[in-house]
Amino acid sequence: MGTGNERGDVMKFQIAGALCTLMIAGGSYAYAQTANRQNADALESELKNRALTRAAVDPAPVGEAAKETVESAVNWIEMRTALALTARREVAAQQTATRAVSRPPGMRAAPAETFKSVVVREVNLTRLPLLAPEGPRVAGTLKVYSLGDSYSATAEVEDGVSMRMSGSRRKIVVGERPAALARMRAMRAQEKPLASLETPYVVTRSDSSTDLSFSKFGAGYVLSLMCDDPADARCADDAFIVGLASNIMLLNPEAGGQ
Amino acid sequence: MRIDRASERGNAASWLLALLVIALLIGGWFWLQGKSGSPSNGEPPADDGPPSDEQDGPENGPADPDDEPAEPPALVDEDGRVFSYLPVGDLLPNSGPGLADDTVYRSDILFPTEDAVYLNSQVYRYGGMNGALNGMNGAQCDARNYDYPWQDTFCEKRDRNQPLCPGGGHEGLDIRPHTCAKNTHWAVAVEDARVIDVRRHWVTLQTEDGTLYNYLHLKMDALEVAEGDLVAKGDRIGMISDNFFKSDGTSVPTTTHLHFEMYENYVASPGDDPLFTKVNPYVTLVAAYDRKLRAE
Repeated sequence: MGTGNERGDVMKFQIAGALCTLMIAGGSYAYAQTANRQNADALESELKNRALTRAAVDPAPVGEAAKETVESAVNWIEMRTALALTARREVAAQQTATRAVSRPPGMRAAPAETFKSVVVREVNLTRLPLLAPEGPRVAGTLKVYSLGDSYSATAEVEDGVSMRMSGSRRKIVVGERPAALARMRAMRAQEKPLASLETPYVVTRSDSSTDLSFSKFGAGYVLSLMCDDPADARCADDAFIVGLASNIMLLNPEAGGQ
Repeated sequence: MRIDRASERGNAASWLLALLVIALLIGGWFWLQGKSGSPSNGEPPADDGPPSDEQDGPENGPADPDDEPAEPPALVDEDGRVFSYLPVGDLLPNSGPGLADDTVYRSDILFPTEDAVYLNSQVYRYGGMNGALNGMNGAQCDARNYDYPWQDTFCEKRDRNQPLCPGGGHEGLDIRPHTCAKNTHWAVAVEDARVIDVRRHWVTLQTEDGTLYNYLHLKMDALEVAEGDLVAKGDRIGMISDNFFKSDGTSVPTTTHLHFEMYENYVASPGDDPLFTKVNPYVTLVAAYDRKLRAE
């Protein structure tokens, strides 16, 4: 009998303990929820108090407008020189090469007619050197859309990775304002040399793409890689995109006249 | 022994009763605290349209003649709600450094949506995976997500360091449509442009002077445009949705919003070598929205 009573007492204490635990957990949860709501409400209220509005009549300007858009003079001579330089490097590499020596980085002519998905008329419209990275999958899927002073080339690179390379010979002048200058300086400070085109480049990355930007021949270019997973090493590390930019095709080697 | 057992039963019942009373009292206290501390207690209602204007924040009511000086009337949206916005680079707490760039890169673009919208974080607000960091627990359709003020999300922290956003990684702006209903509200071309890429969950436009606009998360199987099309300013591109696909077609969950990006080829002075990168479109979009609300 005594054993039964003890068991009963233990059970009662266990029930009481469980109830206490539940009560404390419930109270803590309720408190956390209340605190969260209060924090969020206080934050929302603070945001509303700090917010700016626009006058319905005679409003002040918003921000600072960019000054103008200017057209760059494309350096076609530099483009042909770069082609010749790559050709010389290849000859030199062949003369001294062992099997272990890799193909030298550079820019090579790749006429538009050689790509099945490229519309030649689009290439001929383009008034700046039309650059795109090399690669077997790129060659098979490359498409070009031209707007004359700008263009974009798109392609699949490998499974799970696509690319877009865009160029423009027009540039927006934002002016010498401190915020703009500080941002540009910060980006310039990250620049490294791109061996294929002998120009500095900078890599930026976000959720949607990894971008390699450079200027050459008077125009601005950006090579964007889009990975299924931004954490994919091909997008998360610089090596893959720099490797792509190290062997560049020039689709309009005859552009610019003589 | 019977007396002892009865006594024990009575003691246990008293204990349980006392615990229940205490639990009820504590629960009631928290309930009252929550009720007095929050105007929107409990699960916030799904957004069925714009919330009432009778909330905190800038108002556009008739001026009180006793108030000196009188506030000039503020610009309102199509629902009569005062448009308000936080300064560029002013991100939510715990969400990254921001990038205070007050440049209006394009002074004549159209706003990229047909209806009134709300720019704010998809990740650090209600329904976002990091909403709890600011106590913003809830669902994406929480009415508080569909309200002014707008807030910048460029350089919002996404765990990928890069030069433009130290410690950040979101190089675009997230735009919630007019309501939480997906596949209902339209995104439109901000300028005359060409559609140069339609893939996975994005549509990319390019203008003659090189500017690129990325529209992400539209309803991709019902677009109004195709690759190679020339579009005019204001043409419909697609409906704002939650599409997010891997290249093999696998769907990745996201919230209903338009992720908007802008690339510019820009310089400080005309003779400089350009940088062709993403830029913060926040102030450009504030200016475009301002023109939209004025029907300019």
